[in-house]
Amino acid sequence: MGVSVMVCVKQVMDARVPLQILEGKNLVLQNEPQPVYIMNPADRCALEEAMSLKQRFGAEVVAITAGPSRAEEVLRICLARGADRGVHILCPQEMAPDAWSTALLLSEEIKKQRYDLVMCGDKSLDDGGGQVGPALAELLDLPQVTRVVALEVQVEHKRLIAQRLLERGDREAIECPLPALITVTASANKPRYVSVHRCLLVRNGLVDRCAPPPPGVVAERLCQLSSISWPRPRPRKIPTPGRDMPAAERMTFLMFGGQTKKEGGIFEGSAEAAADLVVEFLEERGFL
Amino acid sequence: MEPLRPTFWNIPPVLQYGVYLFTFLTLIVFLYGTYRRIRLWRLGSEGLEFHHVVERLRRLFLYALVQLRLFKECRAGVMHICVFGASIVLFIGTALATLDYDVTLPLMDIRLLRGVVYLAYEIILDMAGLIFVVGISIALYQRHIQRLPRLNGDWKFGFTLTLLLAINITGFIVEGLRLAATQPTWANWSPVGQAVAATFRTLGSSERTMRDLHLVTWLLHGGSALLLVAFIPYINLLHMITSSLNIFFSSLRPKGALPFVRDLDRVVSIGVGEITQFSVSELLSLDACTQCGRCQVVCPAWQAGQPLSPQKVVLDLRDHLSMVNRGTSVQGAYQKVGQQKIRSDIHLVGQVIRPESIWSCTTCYACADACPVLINPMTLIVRMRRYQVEQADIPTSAKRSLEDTLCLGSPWGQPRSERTAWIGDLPVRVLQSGEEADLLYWVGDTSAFDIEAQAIPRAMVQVLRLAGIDFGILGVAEQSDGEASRRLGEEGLFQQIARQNVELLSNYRFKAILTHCPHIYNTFKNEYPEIGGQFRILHHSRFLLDLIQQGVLRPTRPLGERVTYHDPCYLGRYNEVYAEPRRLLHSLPELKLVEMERSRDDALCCGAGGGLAWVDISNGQRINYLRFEEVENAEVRTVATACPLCKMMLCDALGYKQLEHKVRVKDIAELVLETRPERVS
Repeated sequence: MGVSVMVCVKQVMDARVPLQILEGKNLVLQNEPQPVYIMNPADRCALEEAMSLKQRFGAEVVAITAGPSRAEEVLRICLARGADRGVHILCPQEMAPDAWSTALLLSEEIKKQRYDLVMCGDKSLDDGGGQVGPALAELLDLPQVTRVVALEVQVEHKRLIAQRLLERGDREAIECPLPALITVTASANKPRYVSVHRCLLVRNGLVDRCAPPPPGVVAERLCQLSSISWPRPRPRKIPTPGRDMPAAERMTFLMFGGQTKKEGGIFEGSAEAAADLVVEFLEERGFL
Repeated sequence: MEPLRPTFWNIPPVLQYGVYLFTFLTLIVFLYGTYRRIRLWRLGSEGLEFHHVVERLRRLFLYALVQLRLFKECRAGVMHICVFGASIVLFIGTALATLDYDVTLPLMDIRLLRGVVYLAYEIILDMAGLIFVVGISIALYQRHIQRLPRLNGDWKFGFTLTLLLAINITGFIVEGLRLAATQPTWANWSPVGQAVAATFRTLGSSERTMRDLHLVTWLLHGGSALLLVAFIPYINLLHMITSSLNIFFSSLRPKGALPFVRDLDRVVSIGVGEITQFSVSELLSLDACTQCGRCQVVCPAWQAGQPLSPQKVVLDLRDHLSMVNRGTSVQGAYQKVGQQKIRSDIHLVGQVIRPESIWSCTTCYACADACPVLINPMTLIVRMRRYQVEQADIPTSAKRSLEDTLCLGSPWGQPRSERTAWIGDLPVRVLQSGEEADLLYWVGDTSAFDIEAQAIPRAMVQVLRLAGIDFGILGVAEQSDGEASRRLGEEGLFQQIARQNVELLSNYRFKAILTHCPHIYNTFKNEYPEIGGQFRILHHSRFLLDLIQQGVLRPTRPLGERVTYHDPCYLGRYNEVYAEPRRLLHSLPELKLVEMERSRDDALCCGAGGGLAWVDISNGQRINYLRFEEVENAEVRTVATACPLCKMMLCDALGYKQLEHKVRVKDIAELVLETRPERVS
């Protein structure tokens, strides 16, 4: 009868080491004697939130990842941090699933488990797309709250109240029934330190290894990577500030490229009506 | 008439039997008190070690008998030898008296204390009594009149000291009254007693008065003496028993080797979270503290006003232990203390010891070196740190440095590929796997990444090339030695890194490892053997000295400077290397070496040890600024260091005080290079 939490984690390259781009192969590599992989920072925060649920409700926490064999290291870290079990969907390096395929793979396994809450990091350090969480929610037919910074789970009422991060420091609180999926930002909490000794103790802990469904069964990649390049700063158009503006405003204008006025607001209505509005918006501006 | 000891003169038989009765009661109370303490020590996790008895006896001789460490402060040493030595003599005297009257007389009808033997006995005991009074007077003066800062002036100490003094003085009065009343011909063999007797004779007391006074004083003397003995285990005099025990059972590990944790993957808990997780010898050491305060006054954190006192750590742990008692099981053991119940499984850090205290320790070893009875507060602190690491309750900056060490191979958070940036355009041979060189130069993290410390290997490789030494570096294959992680309490990370390093080094062939960092030197020399790495490790102070003394290199340019040398803790106190760096500096032309106020084993730490280079202070001053004041007082142009962390810290202090135009901070290797050494063919 206890609460069960699934945490989706990803192993990514540590971005602090020098990187190089193999232009032809569209690959990013580390320019280091040994490759350095870490658990995605946002996923670490998601796990940390799951651990506080474990402390409060005695929840069972299961970590799940889709990746090559080296990704098991990340599950070991999750176990050392207190997760009860790990599930490893083996995806060979060549498979390189995109966000949608990853979500498909994860959903296939998650559907086999019992869960009250699915937690993911909001975006990954390498791709930064932030799509796996929402895609997974759709595949599992779960309500979703993204970019969560604070979480309150009310087990008796089978609901959660999540604070999510908006722009410019704004927050909004969303109430959501369980089961649900949330994505957690990297600023949600400070993950605890896990000693090497703890990692050693759980080295033989429970990790279920599952092979992915054979190729062909999984849908084709929806996205094709066309190219990777180093970031180039975009030039900003800064009009001359008017003389009637006070000095402080003029300085802000020059330093931060003017004040932007955002169009639109918050639409209140059903999800279908909102979707129609979004499509209309994108069509008007030539994105579709 | 032959001299004979007049045992129980003027004492009625009832009181004579009373002596034996009360001695018996005293013994019961004394033994019970001792038993209670022993029971507390036995709550510890690991038992006592008895091996290497010869070495342990040697320590007993040096530190318990000769009391070598006490003489660091001359007057205190004299005081204690007087009290200690005189007590032993007086105790032997009492034992002999008992033997004489209660054993040899009834059993063999022989009296030992007669004739010449008795005369010698009298004079020796009189002198001992006098020495005892002198010693106690010095102690009283130091603690309660002069009020030395390191001594606790609490009334309890004054009471005990005064009682000891009173016992001795009443003893002399008793003797004096007896001598005044009986006037034996050999009375002059008890000079002090005679002096007291003369006083009473001058006062014109009648024999009746003297006898009455004698009886009363005898009762006071005997009663207070027995009372004091009975209460030895309950007051600070417990150190009479525990100090010697602690010295005997002190750890025989090399100073620079922290306690090892075997079978890390099978041990459930490491470090000390509750008091019973200390070993029996560690709990015993808590009771050995005499509250002399020496550890506190030498602690750099204490001097900088930071929230750490080694003495307080020991005494707080001791007081906590005293309130714990064994119930039916250690888990959840309770003891009623007034209305409060004290549990044995109270978490130490946070409730008994402040967290800031354990995270302010630079592991400089000054406290352990200063303690006259060989208590090691530093090890207690590191053991508590280990538990805190397991609980993930560590300062954020420590956490970051440990994670970086695990991920990127150094606590500096820089990628491995940056490790060779210090080389610049210098020709340095980077050894590949399988290659061979005479010397493997282990550069270390700090010198790879800190800009001030980078000057050290740059100077070293130039000197080594000039000397024609066949050496190589590991380049980007090098990683942290794990020492800082171990000091922060991450034993698992240390063992993992150390094992990786031992395996890495097995891929190269070399005669010795050379390093300019005392932390690397210490950990390879004293800690890696337990992991399975036996290497010949050289510190560059010795190596450079050999190059010059053996005539391989000859300095050509005089320095012409006043220089002082800052002893690194891990080279000096830990490995007792004081002479070589100084001889090296003396061998450089026109270098005038002056010593700072505190040098050699008294040297003040730079503040970077114990992993604290990566942990910020919580309160108080910065230790390196404090040390730099001594540099300023030495009025030198250059302060020479032999450790990259020391150099970094002193450069930081230099910058803070804005004295770059007046003083330089240079490693000894840099100074050697400045003398433009030439190869002597």
